[in-house]
Amino acid sequence: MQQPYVVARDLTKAFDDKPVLSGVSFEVQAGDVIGVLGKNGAGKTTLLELVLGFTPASEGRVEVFGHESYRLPGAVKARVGFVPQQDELVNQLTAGHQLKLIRSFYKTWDDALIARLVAVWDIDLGERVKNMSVGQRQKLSILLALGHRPDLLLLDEPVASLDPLARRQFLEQIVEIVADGNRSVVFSSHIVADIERLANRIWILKDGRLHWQGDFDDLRESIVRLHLRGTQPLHSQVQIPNALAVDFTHNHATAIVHGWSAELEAQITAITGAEIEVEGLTLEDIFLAMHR
Amino acid sequence: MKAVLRLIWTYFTATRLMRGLVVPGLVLSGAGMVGYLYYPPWTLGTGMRSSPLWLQSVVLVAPWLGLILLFFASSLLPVIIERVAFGRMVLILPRARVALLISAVATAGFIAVLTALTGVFAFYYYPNEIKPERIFSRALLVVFSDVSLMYVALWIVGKARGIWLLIGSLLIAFGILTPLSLIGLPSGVPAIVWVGIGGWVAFALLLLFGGRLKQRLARPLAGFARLARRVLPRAAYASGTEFPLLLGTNQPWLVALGQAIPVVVAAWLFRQHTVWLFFLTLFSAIGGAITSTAAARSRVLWLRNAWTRAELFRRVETAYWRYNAYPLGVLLLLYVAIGSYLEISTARLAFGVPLLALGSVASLYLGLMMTRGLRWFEGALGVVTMGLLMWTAVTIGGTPSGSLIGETLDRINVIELEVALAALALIYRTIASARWNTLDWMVCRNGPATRAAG
Repeated sequence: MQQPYVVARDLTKAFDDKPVLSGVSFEVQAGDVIGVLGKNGAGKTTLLELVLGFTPASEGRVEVFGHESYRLPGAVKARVGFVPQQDELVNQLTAGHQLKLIRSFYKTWDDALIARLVAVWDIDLGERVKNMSVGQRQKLSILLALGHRPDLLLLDEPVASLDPLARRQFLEQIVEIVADGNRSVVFSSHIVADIERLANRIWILKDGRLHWQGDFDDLRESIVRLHLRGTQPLHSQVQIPNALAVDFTHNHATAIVHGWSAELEAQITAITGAEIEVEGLTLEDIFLAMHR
Repeated sequence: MKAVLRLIWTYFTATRLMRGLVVPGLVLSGAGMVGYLYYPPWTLGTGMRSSPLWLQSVVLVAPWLGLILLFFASSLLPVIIERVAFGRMVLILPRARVALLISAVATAGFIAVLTALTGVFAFYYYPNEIKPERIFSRALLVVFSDVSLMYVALWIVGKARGIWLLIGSLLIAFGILTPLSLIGLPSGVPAIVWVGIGGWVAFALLLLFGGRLKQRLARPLAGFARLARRVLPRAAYASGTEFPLLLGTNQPWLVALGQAIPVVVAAWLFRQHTVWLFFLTLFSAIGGAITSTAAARSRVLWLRNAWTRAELFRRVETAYWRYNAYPLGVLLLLYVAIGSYLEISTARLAFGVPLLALGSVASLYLGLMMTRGLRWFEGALGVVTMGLLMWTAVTIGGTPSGSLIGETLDRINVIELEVALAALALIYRTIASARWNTLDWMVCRNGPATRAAG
């Protein structure tokens, strides 16, 4: 098996003794498309910046392609692409100059890809960056991160400023990038539908910890909504195991549970005596249930 | 190497303005050097061929003008370095730190080498006491250091908007010319060279090792910050301070004290009254120029108060007068105190006081006029105003040594110039008042958000 691109162990980051991440461990394998979800301030950006070595971990260690992230050598950086939440473009340059400037730092550059995306995204290369709209700047930032065909692409809220069409084109581009199975993408977004459409693995950050990390399908099988129909009224005192949320209405109850399995089904049936109907949830429902 | 060359190319050619400066800059400096061989400017009576005065003047000035144009053509250097080095790009781009450092040194070095060569050509036919290699090495060191410091000045200026940019550019042009006199010092290494070397060493260390240093110092610095928070009083909003807080005029002492250091240094460096007054006048204009951001800042005040635009203008005007009183007061005190110490005549000092006040007032209203950013009209007025201020400063100061040996002061001329400045300030006020009556906040701030919204 190929060595993981990123390995993080017991990662903790605190600012002024205020912990943002505590004891987080994860791996990024080749071909992974990982969607990072979390409330505002959950630590998504901090997590990505730790991987990129922008900031040292308070405790623990992150390795990217076998190197400590805080001391990444140039050759490893050439394998990484990053789209920040707020672009870092030089306002005075034109889009074309900005592309040429960044291109000069890399040994390889996919001119054909950039030319295609410039055409598809309708980017005016002669336009000065400071005159571009927020969405256009975001598109340019994405181009700068894709041009050298990175093996590991990290994107912090990359589509927040894009219109639906550009968002869809961007997602298609990501799919194309990871199609060869040797590249990985880690991206955070509040647009859950995009993560749902694209990611094969999900990380959910809550209270500074990775509350969930695993395959999207596993997550959907694990967290489900149950419709319980009893012959007698169901009392609110009834404790449903692994419940994230429960609503009672006479002899009917709706519960969202985690760790769904045949054993859990048997347990709930025994406690409530009700008939159980299982409903799959969208990622947004799962996220909301986890944060109730 | 590719990145270094691309960076240097970008510094010089990224915008139309830069490209417009770099071509005449190269032509003038190159042709000027050759011109020096055919029309030597400094021959010290060695019997070289004579030429018309106008031609001598053109030949004398051309290469230096070319070098100044080249410097301004590379003025994107601090902007790009800041954006890449202080952001996260430096951490992501391969070998970005080294590329940035080499490109910056090479760019400053390129201008310094051209200047040093120009110096050698200029003195080519000069009697032999000054050896060409000595001219070259001294010019190279002084100009390299000076250009480096000017990049820092450009960077600071580039962070400001409007008239600050204009004044800063003039200040930099002045800064380019002044050290040339240091090249001719008889012996020793001029102080500016040490400042330049120190600056580059500090910059290189910060750029290459700043991240690790920050990591090492993170804990002690966090402890120090906690201690400081406990010990120092916290800056807090207090009722009644809303207006200056929102307008940015809440800390007049900061500017007042901030300008004291360079003024004292200038007095130490430039003991001639003319040069010193020239410098002080620039500072008086800078103090007033903060108003160029007033229009954009005033929107929030207008939204939260029942004032008309005319009333808003009056209140803003009063606030800036009050704010400017502090830096101007400090400037005048320093002027009189240091001027007396340098034994500048009372008459010259007396005429210098209204000049500084007029510099502050004229720039205050010029800034208030900028309700649509810095456009050609305002830019031209800025140049005219600065020119008039400088002319007045030179008229008051006299020739560099004349003021100290009793050269006559043309009082009528000075009074005329100062009355003209006062009239200019009044005109600016009238225009500013009229513009504020129809203030459009969609166009007064030239930012991307406004454009996107438009």
